[in-house]
Amino acid sequence: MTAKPINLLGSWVIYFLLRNNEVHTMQRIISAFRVFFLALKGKELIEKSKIPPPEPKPAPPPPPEPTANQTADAFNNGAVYTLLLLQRAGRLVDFLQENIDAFSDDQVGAAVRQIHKDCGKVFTENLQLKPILTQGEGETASFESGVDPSEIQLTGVVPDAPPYTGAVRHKGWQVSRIHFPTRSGKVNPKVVQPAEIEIS
Amino acid sequence: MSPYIVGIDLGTTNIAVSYIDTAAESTRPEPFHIPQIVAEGECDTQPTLPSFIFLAGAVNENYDLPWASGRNFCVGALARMKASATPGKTVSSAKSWLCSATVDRLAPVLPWNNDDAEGRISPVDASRMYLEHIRDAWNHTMADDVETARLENQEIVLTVPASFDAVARDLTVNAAEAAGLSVTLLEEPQAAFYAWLQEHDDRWRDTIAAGDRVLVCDIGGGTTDFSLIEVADEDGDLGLRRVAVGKHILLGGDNLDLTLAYALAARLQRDRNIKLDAYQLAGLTHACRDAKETLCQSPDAPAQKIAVLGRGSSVIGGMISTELSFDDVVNAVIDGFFPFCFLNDRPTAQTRAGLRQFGLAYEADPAVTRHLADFVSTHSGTDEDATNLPNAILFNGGVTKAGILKDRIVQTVQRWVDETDGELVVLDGANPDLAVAQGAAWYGLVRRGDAIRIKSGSSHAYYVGIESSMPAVPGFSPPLQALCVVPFGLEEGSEVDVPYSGLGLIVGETTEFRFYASSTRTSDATGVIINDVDTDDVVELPALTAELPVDDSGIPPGAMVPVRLKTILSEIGTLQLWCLEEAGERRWKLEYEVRTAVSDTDAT
Repeated sequence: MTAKPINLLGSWVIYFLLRNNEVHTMQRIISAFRVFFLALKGKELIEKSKIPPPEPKPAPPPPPEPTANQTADAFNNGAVYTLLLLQRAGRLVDFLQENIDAFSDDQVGAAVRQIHKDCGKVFTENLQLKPILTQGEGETASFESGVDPSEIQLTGVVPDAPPYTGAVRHKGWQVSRIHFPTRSGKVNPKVVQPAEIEIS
Repeated sequence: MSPYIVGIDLGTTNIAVSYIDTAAESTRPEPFHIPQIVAEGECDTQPTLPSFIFLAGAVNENYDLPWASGRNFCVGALARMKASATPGKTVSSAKSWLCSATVDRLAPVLPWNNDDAEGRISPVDASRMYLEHIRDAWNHTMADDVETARLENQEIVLTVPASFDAVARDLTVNAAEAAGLSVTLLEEPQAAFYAWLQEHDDRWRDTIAAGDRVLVCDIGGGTTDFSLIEVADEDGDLGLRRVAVGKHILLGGDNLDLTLAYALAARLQRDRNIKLDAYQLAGLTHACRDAKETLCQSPDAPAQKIAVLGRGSSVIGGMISTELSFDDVVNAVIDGFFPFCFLNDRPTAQTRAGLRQFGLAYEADPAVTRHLADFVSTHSGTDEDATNLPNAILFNGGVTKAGILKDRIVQTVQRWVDETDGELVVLDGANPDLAVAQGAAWYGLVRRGDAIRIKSGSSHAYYVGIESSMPAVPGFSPPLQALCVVPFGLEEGSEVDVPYSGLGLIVGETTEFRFYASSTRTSDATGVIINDVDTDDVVELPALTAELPVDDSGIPPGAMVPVRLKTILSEIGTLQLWCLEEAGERRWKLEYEVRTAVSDTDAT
């Protein structure tokens, strides 16, 4: 907020310079400096007239340079790695990045079939999924006590307190097992798909 | 005795390891999952180690393992992925080269399609590197600085194809020794049978009975291996004996996938004028394998859509889509590799093209069933009296997971058996990918105790070439005869004195004996002489050499020392030949001259 007055004054300086175009250039510059210093002084006055702002919190110490292993860990657990696995297994990133407007449904369908099959391997090998609810969709589920809204979302006419009874609209998904290869700390953790150059 | 018994299946395309912890309550073999580089800079454990080595040339820190750094190569899953992208730097099928007498197996010849001798390794080196990887992976995972738990200190059973001859077995043991491992050899079909015995505990006696003959049909990624195991009554209990082994057949699951891919590629070119490059063909092969597996499991499944996605970042643009129907699988795979055939059908003879690329001797006839007919009829008595056919069949190898292929083999053998009013039982095997390693570990345990063992002995009969005493005809070398020095089935741990005199070594020179093997001449006794070595059932192996240094015995250089031959089949399954001085006590070991390729000696 404190930057605002000086900005206003600064704009005024420029306005002043532009307006006084009949004044000699040197004089104009001197005037400009004077006005500028005035402006600075004005800012000081404004600052002094205000209630001092609360002491700014000391800046947090800069995070230590991540070691190779920490980078790898962050990478292992991270989203980029999952993207990489989906791209490697089934070219998912390539597919989502491609403009598919020009292709027929047949072409898109054929590609999706292959991508679907290949990406599925990531869910069997690296990120196993299981439904949150055991009931099938459309079946009735009842909860005597409260539910964790991150796991189960109640919609429709929701009473203020349990028990809750309703139809399962989505059985939910959660990861039941994560298994990632160990990453050496020396790879670039941002890479989702390396570029390729073929040398003949 | 070692705390663990370890079985290693050193396969042509995949390596599996299984172990028994002798201190544990259960004696069931456990799979050892193998850490390896699975992608650039990524290490993970997998149930098997693909038998591929990528020779990067320069050191690459992405190939650092938890136990090694500064490497310029990697072994396993990433190396397999590299095989299609950079074939000139990837070693594959090293095991097939290990038993190929057409190359010097100690010379750096792999990767075969790399002309740069600097960047190559020998088939024996490749086997050593696989075993070193297994050793280090084991020591990293299981040993934890406990000296007695290190792999070097375990009892190890290493499997080899039954069709491996004495030289290939010797080279395998050498590779293991170079990796610091002392091993006992076991034939793969026998290992598969041990796995079946182990799975069935004591109940196996309910399934097979005295007089039964079990055909073990092992179809791996790169090779096919047959063995026949006979069940006999031995003083009221059942005894097992491996009575026959097949020839080395370079045909396997990889051939099936490639054939499908080539068939589809040819159709794309014919119908749509699309020509695939190597990258697309690799993608097509991968997709064909998946589609084939689906169709082989459930023949009623609809034609499988196959899409080879575009190579660049554009997936759909540049995509080639086609489909693989059940009929395609039947035409290319089932009728191509497993056609119905009669018991007296034979594989079509190898046609020697004028300019054939000097490489692995792939089978001229892809029909596995015809190779099987050849094997079964050879070992079931004479053609007129083919009554001794197998009446049980045990499958092993990844290909046999496909029910429809297994069924076709069973139906084919069933037809042969029906003609003799016989019966055929299919023994349900264990996991065909891991059974061999599991059976190998079990065999190690069996050797320690009194559980049933398959009597096997030498898988081949061996012969030494001797010049016949016929009068010499000018311009012709005297005809060569062959003296049987090891009979088929000679038991491990036995020694044989060859009853033949008239052999001699020359002092101060290297004496060379031509050496032959046969897996089909099962009744030749030691000392038998066969007159014509130029038959199909005898194959020439690298020569045997002995070097007699000039010494202070008083025999002048150039003089001949009369010797007798003695052969030893060691407990671990390797064959040694010795020359014993007739008149004295001295003895010299004959070495396999693997450095001379057989085709070269043929040419001279």
